[in-house]
Amino acid sequence: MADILEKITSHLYDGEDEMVAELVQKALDQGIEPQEILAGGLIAGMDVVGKDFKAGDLFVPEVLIAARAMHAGMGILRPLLAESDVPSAGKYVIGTMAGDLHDIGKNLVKMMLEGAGFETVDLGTDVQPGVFVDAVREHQPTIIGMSALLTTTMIQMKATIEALEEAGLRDVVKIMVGGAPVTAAFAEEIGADAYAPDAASAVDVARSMVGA
Amino acid sequence: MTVVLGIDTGGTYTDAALVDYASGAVMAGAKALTTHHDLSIGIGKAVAAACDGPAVSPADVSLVGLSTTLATNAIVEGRGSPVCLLLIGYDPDLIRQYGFERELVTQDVVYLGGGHDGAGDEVEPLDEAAARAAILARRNQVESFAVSGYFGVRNPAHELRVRALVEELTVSANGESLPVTCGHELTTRLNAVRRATTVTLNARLIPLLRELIATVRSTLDALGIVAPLMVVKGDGSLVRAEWAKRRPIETILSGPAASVVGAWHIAGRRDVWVVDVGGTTTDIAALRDGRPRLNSEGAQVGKWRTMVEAVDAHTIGLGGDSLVYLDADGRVIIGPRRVVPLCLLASQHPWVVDELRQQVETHQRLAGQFVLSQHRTARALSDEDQALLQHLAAGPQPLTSLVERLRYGSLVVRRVESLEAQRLVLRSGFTPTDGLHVLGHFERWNTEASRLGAELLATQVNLSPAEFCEQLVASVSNRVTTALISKILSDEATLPDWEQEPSAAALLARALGKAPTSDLDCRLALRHPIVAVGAPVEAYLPRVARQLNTDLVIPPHAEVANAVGAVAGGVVLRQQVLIRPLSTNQHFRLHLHNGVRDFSSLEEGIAYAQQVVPARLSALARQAGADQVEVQMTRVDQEAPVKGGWGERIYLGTQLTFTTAGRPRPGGSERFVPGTRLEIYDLDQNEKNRQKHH
Repeated sequence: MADILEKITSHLYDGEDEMVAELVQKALDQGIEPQEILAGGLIAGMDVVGKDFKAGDLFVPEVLIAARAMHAGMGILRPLLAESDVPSAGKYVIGTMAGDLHDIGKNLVKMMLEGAGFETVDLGTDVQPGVFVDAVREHQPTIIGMSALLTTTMIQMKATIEALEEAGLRDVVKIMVGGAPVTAAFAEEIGADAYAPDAASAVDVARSMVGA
Repeated sequence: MTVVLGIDTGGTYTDAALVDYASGAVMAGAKALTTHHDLSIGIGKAVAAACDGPAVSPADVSLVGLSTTLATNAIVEGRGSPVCLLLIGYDPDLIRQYGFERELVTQDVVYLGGGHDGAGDEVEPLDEAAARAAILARRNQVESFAVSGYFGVRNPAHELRVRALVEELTVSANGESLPVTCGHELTTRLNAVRRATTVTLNARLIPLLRELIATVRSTLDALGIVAPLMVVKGDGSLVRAEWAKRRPIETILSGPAASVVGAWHIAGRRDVWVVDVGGTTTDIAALRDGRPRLNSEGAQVGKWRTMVEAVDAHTIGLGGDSLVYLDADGRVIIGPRRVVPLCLLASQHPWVVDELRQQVETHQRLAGQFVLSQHRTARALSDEDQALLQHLAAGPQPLTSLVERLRYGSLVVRRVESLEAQRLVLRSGFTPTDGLHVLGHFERWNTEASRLGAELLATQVNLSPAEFCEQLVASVSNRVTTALISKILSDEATLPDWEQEPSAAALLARALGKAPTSDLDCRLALRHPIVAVGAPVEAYLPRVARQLNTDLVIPPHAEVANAVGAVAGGVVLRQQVLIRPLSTNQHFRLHLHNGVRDFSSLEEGIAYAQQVVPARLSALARQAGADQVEVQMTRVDQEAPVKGGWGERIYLGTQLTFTTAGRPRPGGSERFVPGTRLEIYDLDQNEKNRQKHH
């Protein structure tokens, strides 16, 4: 059994989406539980991708392709996981700040988080502080991720945190920030809970936030 | 000679102290029992006793300072007058979704359209018509109004408008309108729900504090004291009574604050931990650089999280008059209930000694406790409650006889506890004070009663009365030490849970000296001295200081340090002004107490603030009772680095804090200096003193 999961991991790393889909189906036919395939095959694969990306051995395009392969596998598993009521690692709401239309970084984080078993809600780009607050109320996530790629929109991160504070909701979520101009010092200054320099670290931070 | 009078009403005792304003020396002190149903009675007794002593005529008193537990107790007990809370721009669905209604204190909540955003721009116009209708509908049913607007601290315009409406529509025949409090007046911090809590609690307290101040004023007048009356705030500073009437919530925790200020003025140290052992509770707080350390998160009172910055005091339900009893497992429990010590009861009712003697012979259940009635109430009571109170009409009764004589036997205890909570009865039982009587450390009342009470408990745990009392006193010390450690750890790391963390508990036990045969000893050292106030701290604190390997300072007049602190503070007012960059047009917005104002440069905005705020703050400080005010400004710029290649730093805003500090009027050119009669007791000296008394 371990054999086939290893194969899934390896093909995922190489970005071979069709192979991954085929192997996932084969694993299911062999009687392996969907949750095991997810954890031992797909998530395990994305973990290696993340590690190598952080180390500088993989670059963004390769990560995107690997993520696509993971999605192919997830497509098959998702309905079965939904049935068997497998708990996700946590719910994560993500968006790019008001006035900012960049989304590549945000999308990468989202994919990595899904690869790690998080349920994600993507608010898109140009998200007003009030929309983040509404999303907290509607989806009740564990974590909010905010992305900004312009120095002029970084300040919206502070406005969003203030909007949550005023609503009395600051303590019901953990807040993580990222984006090219963002720094850890900035995150601390505005009262965020954490900063992640890249998508792979975002997964690590998210995991520590949910206590994994 | 200028003499000032300090008064502190605590949970058990009301203290009064006469202080010589020039030298800071304490001339006289007195204690009376606190009369919770009408605080001014106990105040009158304590003041009369204090003025009785030295050759000081009441007319010589030039200033009176009062610290009171009224606000704290009223909030904890859920007392307060009816108030209507007007919320502007709040979302009732959000409040409901997260169960925030519980935090709003009152059921009478009105949601009005309006409100602002984080930048201070209006989100929706204020629904004046609805505001008018709500005010008119309630003006005869409530005693005050509370107003809070969403982001009202960024722009108070709507709150100010609603306040004006309340003042317009509730004006009565004598020209006075109902009191109204706005969120932005009490704080500049965000969290609309907590602001609503704070402003509602404040509104509820206004009539209570007004009444107290009025009765204290007439009590003082009756004694011939015509001096102005000032009230202590929870940060230890003083304000005129008139001012405090509008913001009673700021007087929460004034008792612990006064004891910290008093500790400083009598002991003269700037960085210490203050331990105040009272009758009902023990308060622990830090003095840093001569000032009480404040809790910037906002004081928690009872179940409410307020936004008042008051002294960061840790309070435990353990005091000299805490009830000592044995639980079902035979463990000795001290407090949190406060009772009349057996020795005190017996000194007023000598038959108590005979009763206790009899109880020692007969070994009844529920022995060693008595019940006394307190003040009467106009409230309707159940038949059973009335029957019980009827039995107490002639005087205190042993608990055992109530069990025998009333129909429902052992349920009596439940009933007594319920009446106790309503302050209709009080119990008497064995207390640490009785323990001190038995050991000879403190003998003011009937020692035989204490000895018999000790015997009743000691035989149940196979100890002699003396051994039992030694262990009891050590227990009190251990709990104080543990509380100090918990407080420091909670501030610096995390609050320890001794029950759930066995290794921490094991280290603590070793530090307290409870494991003498262990191979491992644990010595904790407090890096600052302990100043102990209250009475009688000589009995409990030396052991605490030993366990924490630090110096103990018991200043003279330690037992009335609270009262000294009640008149020793200065008048301190603060105003915070925020400046934020606007994203739309590169301008800078100044958020003031009366609205927002935009400037094209940061320095222009700051200059404007420096122009208008100090004048206003000085005027307010004078209204609050300050003399010779000085205004200082501190500026904190908030900015953060941006990652290399994208720019240098990002500017997030500036916080200006204007502070005025002044001495309270009356005049007198002498400065108030720390007490000249300082005596520092080292531990050995304390031991020698103790041994001398045996």
